[in-house]
Amino acid sequence: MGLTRRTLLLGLGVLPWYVRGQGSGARVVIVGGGFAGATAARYLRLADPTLDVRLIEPHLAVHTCPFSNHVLGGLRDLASLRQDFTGLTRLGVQHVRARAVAVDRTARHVRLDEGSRIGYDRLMLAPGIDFRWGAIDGYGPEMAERVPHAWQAGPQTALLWRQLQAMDDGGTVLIGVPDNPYRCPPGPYERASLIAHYLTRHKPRSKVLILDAKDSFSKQALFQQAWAQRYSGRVEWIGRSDDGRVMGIARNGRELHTEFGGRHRGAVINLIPPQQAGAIAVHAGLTDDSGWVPLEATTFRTRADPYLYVAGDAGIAAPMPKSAYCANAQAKVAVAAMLADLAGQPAPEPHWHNVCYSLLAPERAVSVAAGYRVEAGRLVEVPGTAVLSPLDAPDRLRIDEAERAQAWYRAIRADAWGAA
Amino acid sequence: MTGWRLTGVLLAATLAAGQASARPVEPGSSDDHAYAYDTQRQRFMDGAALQRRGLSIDVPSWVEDGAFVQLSIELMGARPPVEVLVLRDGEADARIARLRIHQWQEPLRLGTRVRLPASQTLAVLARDIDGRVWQAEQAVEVLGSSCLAPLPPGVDWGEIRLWADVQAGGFALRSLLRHPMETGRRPAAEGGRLPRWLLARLSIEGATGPVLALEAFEGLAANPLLHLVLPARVAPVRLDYVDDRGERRLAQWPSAE
Repeated sequence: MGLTRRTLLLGLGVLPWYVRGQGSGARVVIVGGGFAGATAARYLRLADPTLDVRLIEPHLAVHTCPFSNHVLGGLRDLASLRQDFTGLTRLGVQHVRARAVAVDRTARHVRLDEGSRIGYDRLMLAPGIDFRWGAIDGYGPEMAERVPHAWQAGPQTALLWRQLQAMDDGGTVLIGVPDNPYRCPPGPYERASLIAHYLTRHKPRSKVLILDAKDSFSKQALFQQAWAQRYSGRVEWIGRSDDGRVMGIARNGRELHTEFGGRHRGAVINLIPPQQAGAIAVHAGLTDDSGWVPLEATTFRTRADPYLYVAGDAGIAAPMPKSAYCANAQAKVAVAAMLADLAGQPAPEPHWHNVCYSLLAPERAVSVAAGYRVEAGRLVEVPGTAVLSPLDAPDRLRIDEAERAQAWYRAIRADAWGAA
Repeated sequence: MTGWRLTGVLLAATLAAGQASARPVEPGSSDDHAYAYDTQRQRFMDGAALQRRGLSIDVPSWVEDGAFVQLSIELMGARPPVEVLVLRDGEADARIARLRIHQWQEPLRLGTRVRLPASQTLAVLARDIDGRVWQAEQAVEVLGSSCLAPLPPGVDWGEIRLWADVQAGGFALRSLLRHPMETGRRPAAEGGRLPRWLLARLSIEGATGPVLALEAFEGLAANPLLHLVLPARVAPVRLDYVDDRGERRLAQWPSAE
């Protein structure tokens, strides 16, 4: 299912203040310019143009993680993923080009890396993910400059793409995949598919080997069918029960070590490490033992601080997956709740929908979708709403889904960042 | 990391018919009460007072995938042998695993993965030879997602993964057996349910005698995983897995190869 204009308007439908025009003039600070942060900034200004909305984001532009695997398949340029903030600034959002390093929850201000502080009436953190450096022996930020994770799109994506292009034919591409929870559950397997597509065309004696810390994975049957049918054994998956869990990296970044003593050498290694909420959420004392942020389900307000909201991958929103679609939807719900709070009104009842598309090959995609709501204070999947692409489907269905994925991508970028 | 590796099945043999086979427990059945959490807990406690400290468990307070929930147990000051019972309070059959442990490197450190179909409390009880009883419990919220895939049906069983990290005075043994641990409750694609097929027991023998005996129930996760820290003198150790169809797998560390 694509994100249609009607779907986008439904997002506005949960914002009754949009038509009322509260004019509170409140100061709302947003940290992070990805899908969640940008959506929140845009919808806040759409709902109430008197709001002082500041988006703290150190970069002039971001690259979207959705569709970044297309770069690794040679299907897109990295530049096509680049998204700046002109659509937001035109709407009156102030882009503060700095890195937020700390939150003083008592004084209600955010401290920036250049030393200044920005006060807020309400704060939304949308920092996305950071990595649990040290969870894999020998893998840290320095090693990642040579052995890319490419799980934050941009320079890491470019590095992995250069390595794939430079690899000799006959080499093995290793992809290390963490246990749940992590950003974009089907993402590693889409990546394997598209790298296999590239290898098929340009390095036909090469293969992809996935080393997985899990016993099963998202859309498993669909991916494995596609690998067998389209890539003739070029993609091999080793789950945890077959010693797929990566424990360490050695030999100057050329070899992965697994839980039961396996040694795997790769011509190119893409190591996706275990993850947690973005650093500022951790430093602000918002995360639990899991490293992610507990939230009130109806509002996406943090349980630790009533003035502070979190949307996107940093929060605990399961059963919703950590996807761009969910980040966008959560940000709208958080905005609605924040505006209601500023107006002294109860938060509206939220509902969400998610679709995750994955490309199996150029112009061939599959998807998983579900709806969510709040029951007894908990996020739950609405029974009967889960839809998974069928196995053994006619090619036309895969083509249709790929077209919908393209439409979804265009629409959600426009919805989050506005027209450039 | 120093260690030895063993892959592959060392021995596959079919035991004689008549292996003990646990029956599925349906809610409301006559077995329901016998296998219920409170009954199992009270039987194990047998009126003993709980020790105030010594037992701790490490388990996540929430998980996305209740099919594989990592559980780590640490018990200090117990005298062997120790009986350990792992329970869950939200299922008709509360049992996950029952263990008897004869040797360990103090403190007793044990790890496995358990299956929680829904949010509930996980409990670990322990009793040593002196009759002292410990209990630790933790609520686990299962926030399952349709985005995650269940373990595919029909996974063959048999391969044992075995590894040990040598530590000061001992070694941390970890073993994983590929096994579907079908509960008899999952729907089959062609209708009906996938046949029940569980691991029945695991025993470990060391150079110094029995190390561990584990009785498995349907609360133990598929692909049963075991971590245990043992003193060096116990090596070599021999693992013996038997399932409820009477099939058996053996492995040894260090490998005899």
